[in-house]
Amino acid sequence: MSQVKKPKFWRSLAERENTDEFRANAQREFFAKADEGPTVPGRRRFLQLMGAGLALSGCWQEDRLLPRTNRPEGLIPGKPVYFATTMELGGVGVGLLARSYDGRPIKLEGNPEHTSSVGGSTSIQQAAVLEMYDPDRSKGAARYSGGKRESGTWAEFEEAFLKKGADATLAILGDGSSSPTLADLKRRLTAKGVQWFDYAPINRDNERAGAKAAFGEVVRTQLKLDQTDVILTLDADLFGAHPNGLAHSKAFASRRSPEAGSMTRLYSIESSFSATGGAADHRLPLRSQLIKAVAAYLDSAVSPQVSAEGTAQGAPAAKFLSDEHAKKFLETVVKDLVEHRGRSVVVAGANQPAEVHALVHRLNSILGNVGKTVLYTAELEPERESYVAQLTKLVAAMNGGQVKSLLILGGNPAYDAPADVGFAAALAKVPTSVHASVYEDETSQLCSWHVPLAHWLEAWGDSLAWDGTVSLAQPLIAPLYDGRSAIELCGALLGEKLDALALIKRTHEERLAGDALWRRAIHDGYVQGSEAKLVTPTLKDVTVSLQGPDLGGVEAEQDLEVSFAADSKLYDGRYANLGWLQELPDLIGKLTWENAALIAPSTAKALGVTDGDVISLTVGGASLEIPVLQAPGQAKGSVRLALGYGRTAAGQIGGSKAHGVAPVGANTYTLRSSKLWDFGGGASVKKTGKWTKLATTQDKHSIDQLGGDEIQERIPVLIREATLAEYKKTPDFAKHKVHHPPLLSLWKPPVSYEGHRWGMTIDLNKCVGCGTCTVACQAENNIPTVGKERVLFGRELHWIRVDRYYKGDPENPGMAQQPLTCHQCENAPCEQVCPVGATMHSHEGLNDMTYNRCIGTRYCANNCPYKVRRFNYFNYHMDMKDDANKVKGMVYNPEVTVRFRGVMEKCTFCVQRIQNVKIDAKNHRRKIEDGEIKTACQQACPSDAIVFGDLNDPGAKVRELQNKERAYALLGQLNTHPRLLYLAKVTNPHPDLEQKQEGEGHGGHHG
Amino acid sequence: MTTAADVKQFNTQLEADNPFAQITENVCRVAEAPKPPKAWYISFAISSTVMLAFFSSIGFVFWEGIGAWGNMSPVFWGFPIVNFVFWVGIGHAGTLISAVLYLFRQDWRTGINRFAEAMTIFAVICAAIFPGIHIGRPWLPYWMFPIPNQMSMWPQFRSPLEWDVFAVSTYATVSILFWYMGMIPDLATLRDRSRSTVRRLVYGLFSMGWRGSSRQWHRYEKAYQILAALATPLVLSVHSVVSFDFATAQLPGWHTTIFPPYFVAGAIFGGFAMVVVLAVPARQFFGLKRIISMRHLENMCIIMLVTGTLVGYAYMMEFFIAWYGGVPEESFTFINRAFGPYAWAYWTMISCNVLAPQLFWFRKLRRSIPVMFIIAVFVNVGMWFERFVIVCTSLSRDFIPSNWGYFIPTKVDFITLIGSFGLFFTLFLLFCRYLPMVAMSEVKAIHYNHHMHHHH
Repeated sequence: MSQVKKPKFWRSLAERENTDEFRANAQREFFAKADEGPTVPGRRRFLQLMGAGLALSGCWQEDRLLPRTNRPEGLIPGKPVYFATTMELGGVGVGLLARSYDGRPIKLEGNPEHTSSVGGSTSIQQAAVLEMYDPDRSKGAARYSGGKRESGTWAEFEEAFLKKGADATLAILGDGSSSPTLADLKRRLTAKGVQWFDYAPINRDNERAGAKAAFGEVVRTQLKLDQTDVILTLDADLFGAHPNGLAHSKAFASRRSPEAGSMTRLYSIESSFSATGGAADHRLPLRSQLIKAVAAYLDSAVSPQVSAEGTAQGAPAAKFLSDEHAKKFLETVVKDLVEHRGRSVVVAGANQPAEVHALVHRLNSILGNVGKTVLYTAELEPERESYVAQLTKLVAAMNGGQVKSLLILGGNPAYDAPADVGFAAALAKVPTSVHASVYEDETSQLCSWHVPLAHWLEAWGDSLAWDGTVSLAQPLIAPLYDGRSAIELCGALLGEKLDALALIKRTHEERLAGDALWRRAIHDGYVQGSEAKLVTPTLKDVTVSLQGPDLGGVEAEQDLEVSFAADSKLYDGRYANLGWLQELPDLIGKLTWENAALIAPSTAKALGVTDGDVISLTVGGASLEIPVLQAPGQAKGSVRLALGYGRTAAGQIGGSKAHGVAPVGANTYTLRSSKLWDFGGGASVKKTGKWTKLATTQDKHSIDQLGGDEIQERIPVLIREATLAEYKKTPDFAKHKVHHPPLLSLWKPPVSYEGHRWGMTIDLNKCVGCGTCTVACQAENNIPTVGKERVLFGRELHWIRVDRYYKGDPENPGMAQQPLTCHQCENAPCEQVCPVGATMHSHEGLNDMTYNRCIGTRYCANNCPYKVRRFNYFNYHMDMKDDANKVKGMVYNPEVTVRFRGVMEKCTFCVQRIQNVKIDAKNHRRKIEDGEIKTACQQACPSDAIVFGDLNDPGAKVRELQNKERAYALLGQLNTHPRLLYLAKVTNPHPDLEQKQEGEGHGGHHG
Repeated sequence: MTTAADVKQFNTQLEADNPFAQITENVCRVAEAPKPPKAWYISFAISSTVMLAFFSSIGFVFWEGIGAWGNMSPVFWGFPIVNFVFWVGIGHAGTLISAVLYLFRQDWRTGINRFAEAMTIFAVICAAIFPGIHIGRPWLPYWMFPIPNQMSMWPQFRSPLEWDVFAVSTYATVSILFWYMGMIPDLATLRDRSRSTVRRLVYGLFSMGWRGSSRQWHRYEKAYQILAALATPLVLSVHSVVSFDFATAQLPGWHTTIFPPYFVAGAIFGGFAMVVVLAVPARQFFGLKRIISMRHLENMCIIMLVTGTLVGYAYMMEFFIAWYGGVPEESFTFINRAFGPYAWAYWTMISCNVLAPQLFWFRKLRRSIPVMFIIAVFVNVGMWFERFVIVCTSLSRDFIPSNWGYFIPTKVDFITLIGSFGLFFTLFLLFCRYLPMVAMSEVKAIHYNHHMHHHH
């Protein structure tokens, strides 16, 4: 197809006329490496390459599809093809599999073989496809002068910037990528004198400094949670915030099956509820400032017991503990850690200062965990300074005139730089500043040039996993908006003749010598055996200075602390324009579409504020107006602030001044300075008198005493829970939580369920409430977002939601998470009441929704005791009428109907996935294997809490799980016969602390 | 309720006040007057404006989607269904008066039956609009009817909503037939008295060639009796079926066996209140005080007292059963109704429905026009709130606390609710203006019966 002649038969005018445009497109069909024949002609490889060819053709971009004259063998239009790729966030690459339909990637799944994913994924990864198809993305180069936007072109930019090359007056600000190719280019650029800096607002610099303090060298900690009996986290979220959280979730979950006889025990000491704290067996809410004292105390208490030499210098004696509960808690922790030395783990959060990390290293070392549950690998760029220091240096250079031109690769420092560094002011002094980014954001508007960066799904790339595994990213589609990758830009600055792919190949030349190895790596998405080598650093003396509040001040409320945290959805703010994430209820407050100052109920009471009160929070000389949300389990006297909100140039969803869209949430970066980076005291609160209704998806209306008491009554029945000891005594405890008369039905079930009987189990012991299932379902099933106003009305459309309940004392509650989706009842209340038969029972036991037939009486939803049915109150696709938004349609799964207004919708157990496998099995005359069909929620779940399968298959895992003693049907007393069963939660409390917990509101309920 | 002596005294009174010609004159002049009273114009202007707002709000909902209303998860049914049940209930008094009291030979009904029946029909019209417009795709309500179609679709007969379709449509059909057939002799009277061709033609058309022959009277009486017998079970069945929408659902607060009798009692209660609300001004403005006498009004007050107390009993019984049944969710639903976030609605309902009618124990109060009017209005408000309490409070807090919510109606909800009254009153005012408001022939028949009786 390299030479296109005037065709005899033609299918489009462009083809007949043989325009330049057409020729260009036709040639791009065999872009990149797709034209090389496969060395091993396997079916899968062939499919993959053909799919890649199609993906890269980029034909759709001109709104014109070019037909193939011959269909390549094995390529079936409309059939999805999978490609391995890598998404990097916070300098850590996570391997993913992208599902692509006719060159259109629409869904990402965790790569089960990749060490940082292990098959799971995060909500952010699930939403990445939405980012790629975001119509608000930057669509071309632009010039800015005096804040005014003028359009530009890549050609002009090349002339004005890239062709000038690299010299000492050029500075580059990276975003802390771990890409080996970028590192290589950086080396080449700095060799030419280019000043290279990196900055990322969410980073693990404290950890690096802590390792340096403990070992004298910067090392990365690798946890073996699957071999751990006791875990203690200090303000650390192992599952949610940690870059290796997916692997941690899986490893932790593997040790949380009571059937195995033993379970790991998790203690959490943290200022604000995290996914980890929610899953903990014991949790102590404690201000972030006090964590250091705790670590020091632990060191002083553990050291003598494990006959370690001395203690860390400056560590206090145990006597300063004043709070009885905290004292008992810590003593138990010490006892447990010592008892399980060699099989325990202590972890500190990234927000904790270096000293705490050093103490933690010392603790792990004296407990004998190192080499067993705690391993170390070399850290990247061990010599580099902290990001804040680098940014400060850059600003000094900019102010000092040493920087004539500045290239900012990704990031958004004008928005997220420390408030006191003065980045924006310094930027104005740089004659030529360029911001290459996916969106034209706050920083772009302050630079003299903006150029679109290719989305990672559109470009070749590489990255390193948490354990150092080299991971590769391949483009799934040609750049939608003419973007180029950071690698391409750096290559161009160096005057490299090679394209991005060639540059990456060059970087990995040694490791991937030969085509076969390269192909294998591209196929897998990572390079096998490339993980970083283990190192064995030697522990040095650890010094700790204990100034400021100590544990004696547990109750102190006069000093109000603020503590910053990356948002679990928007990360550092870069995902602000993704509706899926904005509308995802957060773990703690179930809050959508904004951030709030999380305050403990007692602190809120002391301050005289309540939910929705807008306060003026002043700390370190800066003030911010932000609404309050009372968060049970928040440490007293601590205010948690999520970063990433209050964007002014995110887009039409996340806030954009240019479009007249108000910012979503409050920009907490305005309070964050290099001095007050992670947390700090001295905050004060003033009421503004304003009030705002927070868009929460649970407890929408403030719950009165009557309702609150009733909720406490019901939780033990809804979320059935026992301790490991109780479980061993009565394994079927869950079945005794509700007593009801024999259940009779008026008629026999009309279906016999020969063939398949689909069923699901959700293990409450494994779920940490991360919410990935919700976004995965949204991506798979074309679920629209509805916006804040409609969430306030209770009209969100999530098919699977995660219910969060607190139990016990509001100041130190337990947390329970329960994902809830359609239970596919065999005796379904919804089916019986539909007057038009729009929801019917399939012979495989699914409650099928026929959207076409639904007239929207909503009776089914009223009669559903689980309230998992969702209604389209409006046409949520009106924005698609706008040509600019047409691209949004690209993200839809072609196998799932997009619902019109006025119809009911709900979970289908991903019937499209079931059908695909059934068809394939039938075509090949084979049996469907167990585990072959995975629902979207199951596939995304990082902790394998959700299991789906055929209950008629004697070997099915779901069948085995449903037959377990702790399996129970939620609201089974209604005779609904749900196909979804929960596996009751079994906690593993320490006997010394158990008594206390019992008094806090556990106990059976007979209904 | 009414003793033989009462009837006798009552009929004597009627005869004295209304010789045959006088009856005809009194009733017909309303329809024949070249201009109705000023009050009619004012009322009509207001009610037709409100009716326009009603149809505009429906238009808006069609255009925007039913999200324009406030119902949401978990309260998927809001005002439209509350309004539907309310209006269906209103209709019941009409059928009760015209059919049941007819079969029981309660002669005093003749003064009010015609417009009680009219009220039934207009209420059913108002009611029937709501199930049609409240659905998500309001252009498709006909899918609920068993119409053979090329889509091979057929209704799902296990759904109580499907039962509603038949209950309400049967009710509407029988009510219209009954009303219209009863009106034929009177339409003939109007025809005969017509002075303009148009009137003669129209009334002539609708009086279907009525000549008043004895054979016609014979057939008429028989048909009337049959229709009355057909309509009588409908008084019980329609609202029972409507109550099945709730009773057969498994939702705590809905799933109760008391609903059918409780709904019927409530419907009659609310219906009579509406008759009073309509009768009081109508007899005032159209000079029908002699035909719709104090005795009629008092009887209706007594029925309101009885049914109101029945409804109060049902409220108590619901609580008792919720406790006695031992289902924790159900117990909570009822405690929550009375003391939860919707307590204001619950106590409005109790005050209006149970407490207010107790004033009718006093003869003086139930014979006072202002008092009975105000109480009747209260009862209507209370009966609307009863449906609101049943529909919304039960849904707002069901089995799983994470679903709990609080329904807040939108402006459109209120416009649709108030607007439906506009439609109702507009139809009623047109009826007053153009049709015989009182069943002349029946009033005369009583008169005649009484007369014959006298000579024996």
